Amino acid sequence: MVELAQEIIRQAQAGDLRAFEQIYRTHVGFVSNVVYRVVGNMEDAQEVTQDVFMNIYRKLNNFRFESSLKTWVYRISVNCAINHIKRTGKHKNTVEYADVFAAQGADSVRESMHQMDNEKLVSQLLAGLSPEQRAVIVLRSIEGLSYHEIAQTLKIPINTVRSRIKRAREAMLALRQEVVKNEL
Amino acid sequence: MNCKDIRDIILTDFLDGEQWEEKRREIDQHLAGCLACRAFAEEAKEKAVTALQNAKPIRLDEEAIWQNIKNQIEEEAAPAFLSNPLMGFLTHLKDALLTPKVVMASVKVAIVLLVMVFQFKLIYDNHLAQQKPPAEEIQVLAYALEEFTFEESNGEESEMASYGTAIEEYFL
Repeated sequence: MVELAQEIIRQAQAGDLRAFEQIYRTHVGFVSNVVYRVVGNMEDAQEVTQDVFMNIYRKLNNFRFESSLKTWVYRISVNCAINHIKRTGKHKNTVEYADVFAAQGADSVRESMHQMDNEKLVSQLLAGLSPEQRAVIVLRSIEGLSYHEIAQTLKIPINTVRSRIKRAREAMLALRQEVVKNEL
Repeated sequence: MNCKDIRDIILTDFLDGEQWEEKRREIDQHLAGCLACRAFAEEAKEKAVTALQNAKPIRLDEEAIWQNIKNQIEEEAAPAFLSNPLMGFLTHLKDALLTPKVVMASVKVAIVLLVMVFQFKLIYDNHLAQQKPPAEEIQVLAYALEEFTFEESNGEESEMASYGTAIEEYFL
């Protein structure tokens, strides 16, 4: 993703809707992905993505260029998604696999099956985590942010990032072992 | 470091490539001699990292979301009283009426109406003027009336006034 020019951000801060649309188009891909992985279903993801951009629009004048816009947008996305989960009490993922694969456009039946299996697994793994653990795992393993970037994004110490990742992975390993035991 | 410490690092920095050089050397040395920790590292990578890294990005209906955002922004930008549907309608009507095209058309219609009213007034005045008797006729009539009343007041009976009916004359 290309970082937007400061001029575009300043125009959006001045109320230029076209400039804000550029911000939307540049960031909507990763925002919707993060939100979807944290809230766990398409319908809520659509609603929360909309909330994220309304929050960005309302708070854009508070953005002081101290961090990158991307980091700021990630922070709003994660906060909106976690707040949504806490507000609605939906801690478990309810992924509509058909919707996910229709959107992704798998190349073949075999690939589609493989993707569906993987998606099911990802959903199961994330469903077993707390919203905060889910957020750091999504930022690290799906979005590829470094520990330092995650710490900046969530405004938490880097050792908190480390401990959340460790606990999340322990939980995921325990879940996989439980699944294997049940299959046997 | 014992196996537990090593596994804690495997679950975080080692799997994510975050560890610094010195720590990495220490872990590599441990893994070279510890089969259980090596198996743990492989299992952790396979079960808790690879599936997530292979997850494909999803795509939502970006166009529909943008339309909703745009509508919400426009709604918030409008003054609060516009949320009342009647006020909203009246304001739209006012805006529509105050566009330059409508104003120009209204001015033209007003001019045409004024000209028509003026013309009608002229025609009506002429019509009234034609219906009035000429001044000479009025003078003649006024004179005749004056003469008639003067004769009556002097006791001189006109031919019509001196004769009654046959019965009246008999009794008189």
